[in-house]
Amino acid sequence: MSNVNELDELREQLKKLIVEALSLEDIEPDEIADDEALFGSGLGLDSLDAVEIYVMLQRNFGIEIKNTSDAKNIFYSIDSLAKYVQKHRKK
Amino acid sequence: MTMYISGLGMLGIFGKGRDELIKAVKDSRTTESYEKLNVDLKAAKNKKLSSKMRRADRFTKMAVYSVGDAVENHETEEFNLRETGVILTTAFGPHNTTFGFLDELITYGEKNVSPIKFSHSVHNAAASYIAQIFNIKGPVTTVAQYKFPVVHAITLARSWLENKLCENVLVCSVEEKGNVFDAAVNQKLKISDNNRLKPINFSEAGKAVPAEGAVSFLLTSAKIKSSCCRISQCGFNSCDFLSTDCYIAGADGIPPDQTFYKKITSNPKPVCVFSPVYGSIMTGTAFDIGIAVLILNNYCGYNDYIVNQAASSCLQPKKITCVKSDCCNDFAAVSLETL
Amino acid sequence: MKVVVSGYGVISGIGKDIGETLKNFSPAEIEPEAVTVFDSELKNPVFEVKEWPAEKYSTGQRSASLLFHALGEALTSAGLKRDLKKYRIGICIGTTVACQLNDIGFYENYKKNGLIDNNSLNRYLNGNLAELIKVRYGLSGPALTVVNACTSGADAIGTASLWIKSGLCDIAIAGGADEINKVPLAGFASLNNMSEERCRPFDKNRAGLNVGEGSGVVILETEDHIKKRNCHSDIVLSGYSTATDAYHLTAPSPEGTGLKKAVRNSMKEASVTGDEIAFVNAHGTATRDNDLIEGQVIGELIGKKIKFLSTKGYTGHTLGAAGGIEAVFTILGLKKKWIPKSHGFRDFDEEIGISPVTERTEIEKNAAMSTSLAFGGNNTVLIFKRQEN
Repeated sequence: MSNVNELDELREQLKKLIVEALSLEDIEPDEIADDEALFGSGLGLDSLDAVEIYVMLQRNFGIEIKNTSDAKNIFYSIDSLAKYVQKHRKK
Repeated sequence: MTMYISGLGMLGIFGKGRDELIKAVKDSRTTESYEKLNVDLKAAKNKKLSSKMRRADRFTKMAVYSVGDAVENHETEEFNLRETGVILTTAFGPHNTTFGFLDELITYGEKNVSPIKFSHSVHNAAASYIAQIFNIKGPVTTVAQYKFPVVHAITLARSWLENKLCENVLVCSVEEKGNVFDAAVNQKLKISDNNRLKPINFSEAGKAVPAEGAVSFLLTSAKIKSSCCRISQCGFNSCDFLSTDCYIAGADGIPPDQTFYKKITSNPKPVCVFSPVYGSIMTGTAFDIGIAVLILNNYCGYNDYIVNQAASSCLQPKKITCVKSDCCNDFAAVSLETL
Repeated sequence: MKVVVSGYGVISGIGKDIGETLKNFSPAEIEPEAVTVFDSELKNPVFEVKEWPAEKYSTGQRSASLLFHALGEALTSAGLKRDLKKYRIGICIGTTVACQLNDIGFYENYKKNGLIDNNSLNRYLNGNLAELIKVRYGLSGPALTVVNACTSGADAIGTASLWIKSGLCDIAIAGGADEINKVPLAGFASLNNMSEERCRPFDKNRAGLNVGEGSGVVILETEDHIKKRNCHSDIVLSGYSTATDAYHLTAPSPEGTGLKKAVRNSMKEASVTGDEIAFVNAHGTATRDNDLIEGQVIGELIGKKIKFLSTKGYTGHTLGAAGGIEAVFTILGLKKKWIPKSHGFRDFDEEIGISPVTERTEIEKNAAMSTSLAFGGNNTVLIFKRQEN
């Protein structure tokens, strides 16, 4: 599988995982734009959602992100998150 | 100090709100007639409120919806929601979320549990939601008590008002149903096989029909437009048993010792039991108080629920006393009077 | 009406009673270590109560055991060892763990075998802390367990003082108790706010809390009533206020809205100005957000020069017990006229703008404040005064 396809699939998977983990009841995964800001003004996620995403990444991709200083950039959008996961995933 | 009930929100197996409870009382609905002994949260859903509760559990949702009804008139009424206090009372708290968190621990290990589940398993999560959603900035407290959780909360509300901690108090009582607790109740007390609640049955130990629900009262120290009755007395192990027109006994099959209720039913005044309408709930006293408010305001009668051979019944009661006994023959009483 | 503190008792990682606590405040050599009361994958250091007077421990009821230990000391110091039944005594206790059936063995047994273990269930049903005291001593007043997460202990003390003022009881047993348990330990780890070393409250490089356990209990009483018993107390509970942020489930309001309101209201009730406060025993959990907001509010409302400390570097965060334990520490400071150094603090944080005391500090004034903040946005403040005779 090419890297591009893998990234596309990752984006879709992450959207589904986020909607489920964060109980985003009124949002369909495909309504989340790839470059939309997840926190603050965009999707409106907060600090509690952020730590839930840590757990989701750990469970699904074996990524330990807790002490990463760059979390703000990695968590900016689905796009940035997918790229990070693609590079660092352990499963 | 006299307090006024100036707002009432109820959510139970009978449905949501005053009208559905009145209908259930009028139709003599009983636990065996309900399809499920759970609150129908979908039917109770309020879009405005639920949009602020995406992560919340059932326990919190029940609490918030009941508060929503209790303060529905706050914009047009003369009470200040901001300066209101909140007392959330429960016996067992959000136990389904606690067990959900234990599932996380068992499945994923200590290093990989959900922080959302953890933070919602903390007992005061529901009260926190209430404060956030209704922008309440007064004192907020959650109490967890097996004995008289509702009367303890009302007593505390009175202390808050007497000591001027806030202008009004929302007392919200919540209990949820779940498989583990049902199994525990069944082992301890036996759950009734056919969901039939026979609360005053002195020949055999009462059997419980665990249910769930939430009731919220807005208590004010002054009489306001929406006030619907006053609480003239509230306390433990003392009650003026002669001056009341009617009793509502909180017998619901949970404490097996019914000595106290037996004593009460020998009273010449009518004694009613409404637990078959709402089920066996540790915070059931709140439903009794809610029903007393409806009776005092002539929304429904109580004749079908009288359990003693009353020497004299009173068609238009002006004072109703709700009594609840525990397993040790202690009791709590709340007297409500018409305005 | 004056509500006095006629007795107090405490047990925590730093000592099993008042005497040992004072002794261990300096030189402060007790180190937090990985949890030993249960097997854990988490190696973050915690403050366990290690030394148990054997006869006081009931298996599976660790919080209750801690509570009864501190209560015994409190009743003795109040001169209330006997004949409790003849008084109107209310009980108000704060906790987090003791009100949940978070017994993993019990739950696994139910899930796998559909069995309800009666021992675990009975421990839970007989384990409501306030009811437990009521039953053990046969008391007649109100009994209430407060579960406001980390302000529970402070709110329990405040609630009990209101009961006394409302005439619901003449004496009240109040405080908090909590045990180290897997649920909050894993929970705090999931929230990413547990330190890997001794916690460093108000330090620029603070990196989270240590979990602790213990119990702190005070006996409250009206001044008239203590006189009738021919006893005496020089400590008065002169202010209690609690207010909510109405902001977020797990994060404090960035403006410290609720805390400010509680600090102001409690000072008003106690009729004290910032200049009259000897010291503040702050909540200071050593999490980034808590200490920033708490430090800023203390600096703004009480004064930049205020002597303050967090005792979490000695005890860890004892959750529902913290408000009770720290109320006792605050009383000790007023009585002994010194407070220990704010353990764990090294580097000044400009953003916070004030620093806690870095050495054992003598104090002179006669009013002191204890602040508590919690999950859910609760903020509770207690003010104690020492009255000269």
